[in-house]
Amino acid sequence: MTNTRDRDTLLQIRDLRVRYDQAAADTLDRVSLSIKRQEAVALLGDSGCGKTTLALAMMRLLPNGAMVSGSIELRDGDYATPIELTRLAEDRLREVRGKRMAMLFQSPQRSLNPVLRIGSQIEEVIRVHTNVRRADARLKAIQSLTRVGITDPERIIRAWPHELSGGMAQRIGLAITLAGQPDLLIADEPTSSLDANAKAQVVELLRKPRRTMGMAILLITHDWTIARALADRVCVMDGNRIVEDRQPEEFEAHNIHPAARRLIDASNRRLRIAVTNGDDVR
Amino acid sequence: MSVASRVGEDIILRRSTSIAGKRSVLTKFAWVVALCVVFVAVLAPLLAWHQPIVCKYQGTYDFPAVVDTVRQIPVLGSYLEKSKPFRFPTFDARKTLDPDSFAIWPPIPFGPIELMADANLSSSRAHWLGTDDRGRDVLARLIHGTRVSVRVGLYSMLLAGAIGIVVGAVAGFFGGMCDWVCSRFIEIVMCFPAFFLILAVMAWIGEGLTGVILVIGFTQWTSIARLVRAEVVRGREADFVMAARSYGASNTHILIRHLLPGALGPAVVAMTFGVADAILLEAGLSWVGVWRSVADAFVGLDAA
Ligand SMILES: Nc1ncnc2c1ncn2[C@@H]1O[C@H](COP(=O)(O)OP(=O)(O)OP(=O)(O)O)[C@@H](O)[C@H]1O
Ligand SMILES: [Mg+2]
Repeated sequence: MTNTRDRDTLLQIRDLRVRYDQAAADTLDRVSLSIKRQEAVALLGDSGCGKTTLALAMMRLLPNGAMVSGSIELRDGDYATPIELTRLAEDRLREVRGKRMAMLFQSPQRSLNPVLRIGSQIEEVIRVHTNVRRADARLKAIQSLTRVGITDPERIIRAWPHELSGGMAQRIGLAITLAGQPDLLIADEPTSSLDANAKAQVVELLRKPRRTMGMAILLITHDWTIARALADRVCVMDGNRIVEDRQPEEFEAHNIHPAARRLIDASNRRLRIAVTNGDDVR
Repeated sequence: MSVASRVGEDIILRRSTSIAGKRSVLTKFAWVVALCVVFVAVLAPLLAWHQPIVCKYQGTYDFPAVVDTVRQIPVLGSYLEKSKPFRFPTFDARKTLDPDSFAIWPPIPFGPIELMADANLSSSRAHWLGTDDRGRDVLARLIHGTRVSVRVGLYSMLLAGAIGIVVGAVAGFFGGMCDWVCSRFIEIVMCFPAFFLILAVMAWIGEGLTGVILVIGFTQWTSIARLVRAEVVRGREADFVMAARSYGASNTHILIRHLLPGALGPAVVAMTFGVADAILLEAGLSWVGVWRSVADAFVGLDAA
């Protein structure tokens, strides 16, 4: 296939199957997906269809009992041959995680350690990625907070995770994932707990590092409007498979998969409910 | 976020702050008591000793009690030996010092093993708590006994803490077979009665404080290990651990930076209880007479 030889391809997933320990059926069934350098791909799907599972499989963070087959290849300028992530040794994986691929988790609040101050958590990531002294790490932490639009980084750096709002925690999660300057950012439902205004800000925040760092994004969401606003390509999952993979404009056509149609309609309906002030929730 | 979970969070936060508010008064009090005990232990010869704090002997000033205090402190002690104005007291002030010459005595001017003329005195201005059956000042013995108790409590729990934290963390973090082996090991050690083990060890290697400290340390770490293990197991599955993995943190990093800080709180609490237990154990031992050496005085001996 010429497509897989494409020099611009960053990540190539082929026939990925995942089955959790003691699960009756595959959670992912022959999923194939490719992401180009600097491309923003949205992965759309109902709750429970396996979006997070796919992201975790890409980061090799699935629980030990999960059975995985298929291939996930990561290409990079530094590597002449692509790296096969599904068979990579743990110590090599650590060079990929955070630096080549980073993940922004679905629950930003809970992905921060409750017993450590924000500052020390960000510094720690910076020190994992670069060999800087403690004082320099602090400076870099402040800069990284400014970059994700936090106006009073000196205060936030001394705050505890439970003192943050959801949107703030999301920004800090983003600062942490951007610290390693990854080639690919996987953002797992970064907007699902935010109001419309904060959503727009997060979308803007995700656009920026794409421009400045040339980062590719896999945006996981069930919100069509977000996908539409950010993505070059939209994949739709239904059940345990990917059923659509097109440019966002093409979804205007009528011959799209019913699951995609349902998600788009659901997003539009949510919009309408917001407009009518939630009078007819049905 | 559901309303219920928000409310729950709120209650938890508010409760923890109110506990923290109450705790701060209690903690302050506890700190004061603990510091007093340590203070008494470290400065024992300045409080009760058979030598003066300062005296003029054969034309030069001497600081016998000060020297005896500092001698106990590891690094400072050897430093002191070389310094000029302080020298080891080579005289017995009670016998050789001219009563009219300048001397400042400790508030209780008796040593813990010094024999008085009268035994079994009740409290008086000279002997605040009286004297014991051999004619030794009870208060002086109490003060110097603190020293032994603090040493036993602190050292044995430092040892127990080190073992408990390592075993608990390893068992909890690596899980599986490793956890099974560690947990069974903990249960086996839990079955050892420290008291009788110490008696056996004493019979084997002879009497000595080190033996007591080692035995207490090597047997009393189990509750610490169990607490640390539980905390680490709970934390291991937490989202923030997975997040740390996702940015490339190593196992050691995750264990030390993310899991141990959460586990250390309960471990330290268990260790402080352990200090009290160790002191009681040691006091019990001295009471049944494992300690024959008259050179040492113990709280246990006098509390009995
Ligand atoms: N650790 C696990 N063990 C067993 N089954 C799991 C595990 N994690 C997820 N699953 C199952 O896998 C399926 C997919 O879960 P996943 O979290 O990937 O969904 P999702 O698409 O991210 O959903 P959402 O939009 O709600 O986040 C679900 O049916 C879930 O019950
Ligand atoms: Mg999910």
